This record gives sequence, structure tokens and C-alpha cells, in this order.
Amino acid sequence: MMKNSKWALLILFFAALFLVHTAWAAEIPNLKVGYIFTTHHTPFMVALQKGEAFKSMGVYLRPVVAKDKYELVSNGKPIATLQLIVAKSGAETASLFARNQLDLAMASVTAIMAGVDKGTPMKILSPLQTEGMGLVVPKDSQLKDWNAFLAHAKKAKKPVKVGYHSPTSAPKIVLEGALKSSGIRVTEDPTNMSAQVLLVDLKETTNMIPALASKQVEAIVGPSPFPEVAVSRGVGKIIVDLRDLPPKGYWHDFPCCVTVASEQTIAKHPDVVQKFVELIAKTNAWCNKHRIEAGTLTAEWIGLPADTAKASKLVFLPKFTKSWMHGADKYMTILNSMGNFTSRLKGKTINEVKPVLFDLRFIDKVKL
Amino acid sequence: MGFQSILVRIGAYLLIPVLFLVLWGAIDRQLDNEVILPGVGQVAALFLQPTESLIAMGSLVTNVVISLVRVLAGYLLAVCLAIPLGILMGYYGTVYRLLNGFLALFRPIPPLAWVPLVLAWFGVASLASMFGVEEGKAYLYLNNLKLSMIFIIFIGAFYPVLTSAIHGVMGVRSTLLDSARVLGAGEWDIFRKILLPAAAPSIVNGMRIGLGVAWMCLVSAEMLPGSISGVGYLITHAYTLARTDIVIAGMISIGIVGAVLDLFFRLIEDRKFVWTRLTR
Repeated sequence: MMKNSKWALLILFFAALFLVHTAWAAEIPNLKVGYIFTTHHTPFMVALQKGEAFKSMGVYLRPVVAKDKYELVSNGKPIATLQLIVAKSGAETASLFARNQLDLAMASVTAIMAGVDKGTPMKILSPLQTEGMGLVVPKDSQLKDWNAFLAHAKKAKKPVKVGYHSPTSAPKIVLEGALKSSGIRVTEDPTNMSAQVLLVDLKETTNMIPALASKQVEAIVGPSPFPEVAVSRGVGKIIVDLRDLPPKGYWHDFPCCVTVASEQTIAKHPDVVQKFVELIAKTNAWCNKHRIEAGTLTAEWIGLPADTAKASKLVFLPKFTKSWMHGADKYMTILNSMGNFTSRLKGKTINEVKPVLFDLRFIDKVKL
Repeated sequence: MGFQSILVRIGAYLLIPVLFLVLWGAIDRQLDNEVILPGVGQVAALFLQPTESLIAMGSLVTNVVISLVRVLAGYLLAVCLAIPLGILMGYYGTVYRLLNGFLALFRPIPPLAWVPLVLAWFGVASLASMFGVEEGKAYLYLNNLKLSMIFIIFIGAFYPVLTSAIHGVMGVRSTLLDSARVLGAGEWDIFRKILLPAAAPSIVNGMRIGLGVAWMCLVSAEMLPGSISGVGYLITHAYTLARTDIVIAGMISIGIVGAVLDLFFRLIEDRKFVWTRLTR
């Protein structure tokens, strides 16, 4: 009898343990987080690597399986398991949201705008990074700065070919705007010989450096880390940081990547979304203060030469700024003029689409 | 065979590769641009240290092994399904008429065209998520096998194997089958002793072609979201960082592994199907 009750107790103990474990496991949501192997997503990669060193922030990531699965820890308790999903582009990230394959992610604002326009249920939560865009010419070029480039474009007998990676990318929009404000005739039509600069769509960021190296274009305009990689691989030299283009100050904080969540995740796990936004915002601020360490950690994570990441001029935005919103509005105008929007964002300004595009509740609550 | 003839034979094998390397070296010196064409020595250095980690993606060997496992997973699935189906379609006219038209619709679709659908169906699910493995070494291995990748490789290998199996079975001379039936052989005996041996050369040839196509699908498969390993992904990531030397090393690795696997099939053909030459 005694023996039987001992067994019963043991079974009860294990059953209780199993129930507690199941209940505990059930409490923690498993969320898929998308990011891209680019320096733009430095804060996330830094948070992944710094782990418990960020404990003092109140929220940090604890590795479960390196480079693959992490726990989001708040006040010492895990509140979610994050499964990392590496995407190749913002468009792919938006497409994964549309297929309900992502819960949280980082991606370019234009890709998210396009996705939201098509009806993908997702919202921009916070800004990520800005700046870091450069105009690169071949290493042996005589051109040394912006003024020399303008003079060359004005003197050249045929349009100067400048390669970009996407028609809706920030570097292309900023360069085109600055060239036009400097009185340069810009075209994308290769038959237009009266233009002074011909912008060439190279389709992918990966094609930019080979295009410059093989002299298919006379310059490239691209986001970080490509200008720095071109320098480090001995292919090119940066002649101007796009934030410094005229009119002065106009291109500061020009939007690039943002933090995004699916509407379902926001509705189901608002507390987790809040902590994730807090982690990114605080890590953004940390990265601005520790540029070298942040650059080194990112370089190690994605396999860049250390000097490339350290040379990066990216600025990480803990909060939205007026300048950022102004830039986002410029994107809206350009994407509308290109006919890219067909539905929810068609013909609208950034202020008109704020309720559709953004969920600012989380970032507004973050105290840095 | 004399020493001289052995030398001539080795020389014949090495002549074209050596000429190719000399030409590569000459063009590299002329261009002097490692992004367009890195030096032979630069690429060779990567092969001399195959276990060194490259661009934070793990070593060349690790990535080749991961890719090989992925290819074999998709390929074996294709073989297991295509061979029995091909035999059935080749032997029974009703099965052929029933399935051929439907399967032929999908045959011309390139594996890459399946990507959007595959992403919608499987997303980023892996064998780890399928079997509920969440941690540990088993998770690491199983998580590398994404269902979407296996499907893309499977679809690439499936049709060559299926077509060859159908063709092999249909090509078995009816006199052989009729003779066996007259002599009292049952269906199982006919399958085991006549159909399978007679169709085997064509089936193995299809498996050989299928494996080649499976390797060709690798880069597309490893470009799917969620992958951060494999030689296909290594090539793509190296291209992003303008590391053309790693791109070429990855391409050569794919070529070497593909050639070794092809050699395996050639050996089988040479040893087991010598009789096919005698029947010509």
C-alpha cells in the first residue's frame, strides 16, 4: 500500500511538473522576426550579440540557439521566443508578412509602404536608421567632391551614367533631388542625349560594385555598407555623403529602414511588441554612442571587413523626427507619381495615411 | 601499359584544365581587378584552408556538407516517388493515360517559378518545426532542412527520374514479357526478373540526370528566406560583399561534388549494365 502511494505521488509530481512546463511554455509566444544581413539592421544584430550585457536596459535578448533563436527577456523574465528569419530585401520581408510568415521585422520604409498599400496587415512601429548613403566613383577617377562631379556632368559630351539599385530607394531619390536642385538635367531614358546625368537601374545592391568595377557606370549611389565595401575592395572612393547634399540640411534623417509588426501580433501580444520596440529604440541610442563597437559587432555577424563597418556613417533613430516624416512624405509623393500605389495609399500624403501605416503607441511609450 | 602511355593519358586529362588556368591567370593579370576576376592563387588559397570560416558564414566544407544533405533530401524524396510511379505508368497503360496529361502540365515549369507558391505553402518551416524539435544539436541539423528548399530540389529532380523510368519500362521488349508469361511466370517474377533489370539502365540514367538538376536547383533553393547556410547562400552573400574569390570557390565546390556524384553513377553503369553494350 505504502509502495503504491509512493508511486502515485511520483506520478503526480511529474504530472504537475509537465503541466507547469506546458503552462509556462504556452505563456511565451513564439514569434518570427525578419531581418536582413545589412549594416542597416545593426541595432538588432548588436542586441543579439550583447545579450545580457544590456540587462540594465530592462530588456534584452538571451540566446537559445546562436544566430537562430533568442528569448526576449524583460525584467529578468522571458516574455517571448524570437525565431530569426533572414530575408534578402525589404520587398521579400513585406511578402513574408503578406503570407503570414513574419510577426516582427526590420525593412525599408518604401517596401512596407508598398505592402500596406496592397493590403498586407502590418504597421510601422519605430524608425531604425538613416544616413550612410554615398556617391562612389572609381578609385582612379579625377573627381574628388560634389562640385567636381557637377562640373564634370556639365562639361561631359554625353550623360554621365550613375547606377542605383532600386527606383524607390533613398539614395536614388536623394541624388536625383540634389542634382535637380543644382540645375542638372537628369534622365532615366538612355536615348535622351540632352540630359547631363543618366540614372541606370542596376536592379540589385549586389550588382553595384561589379558595375562600377567593370566601368559599366561612371558612379554608383548606394546605401551603407556598399560605398564602404567599394572602398575596402579597392574599387571606388566616396566623393560625397548624401546627407551633405544641397539644399543644406534638407536630406538629414532621410528615412530608410523601420521596425514593423503584423497587425495580428500587435493585437495578440501588445506587451511583447512594446518590449521589442523598447529594445530596438534603446539599442539605437546605444549604437549612436558606441559606433566602433557597434560596427565591429555587425561586421563579425555578417562577414564584412571590420574597417568597412567601422567606416559606416549610419545614424540610428530612437524616435521619429520631423525631418524623418518630411522624408517619408517625399517618398509618398514619388511613389504616387510613379504609379506604385493602387489602393490604400494612392494619392495620399504621409499625414493622411498615418493611421493605416503607423502604430505609434509603442514608440511613444518608450523612455530613453 | 607503358610508362610513356600512362604519361600521355594523364597529360590528356590535364591539358585542358592547365590551359584554362594559364588563360585565367593571363586575363587576371590583364584586368588587375579582383572584383571582376580574382587570381588563381587567391581562389586556391581558399581551398588550401577549407575549414576556415569565410565571411562569418562557416567554412567551405561545412557549407558544402549542408548543401549536400539538402540536395540528397530533396533528391531521395524525388527518387522514392518517381521510380515507382514511372514503373506503374510505363507498365500499365491505364495509369499512364490517367496521369501523363496531368503531370505533363507541370513538367515545363522551372523549379524557380514554384518559389512564390512554395513560400506560401511551407513558409520558413523546417524539419525541426515539423518534428517539434526546438533545441539542441538535432534542432541545428533539422532546422537547416527547410521544407521549401527540399520541395524546390525535389521538383527539379522528380521529372527526369520519372520520364526515364517510364521510358525504361516502356522500352522493355514485349517478346521478353510474353515469353515469360508463356513459361508461367507470375507478375511479381516478371517485375523482378525482367522489367526491373531491363529498365534499370534507363532508370539509373534518369537518376543521374535528376541529381544534376537537383544540384542546379540548389542555389535557388538556398536563396529562399530563412537560409543562412549552404554553398548556394555562401555564393550569394559573397557576391553581396564583392568577394568574387569566394563566389568562384563556391562554384568550383558545387562542380566538384556534382562531378563526384556523377562519377558514382557512371561506375554503376559501367559495372552493372555492361550488357546494354552487347545488345546494341
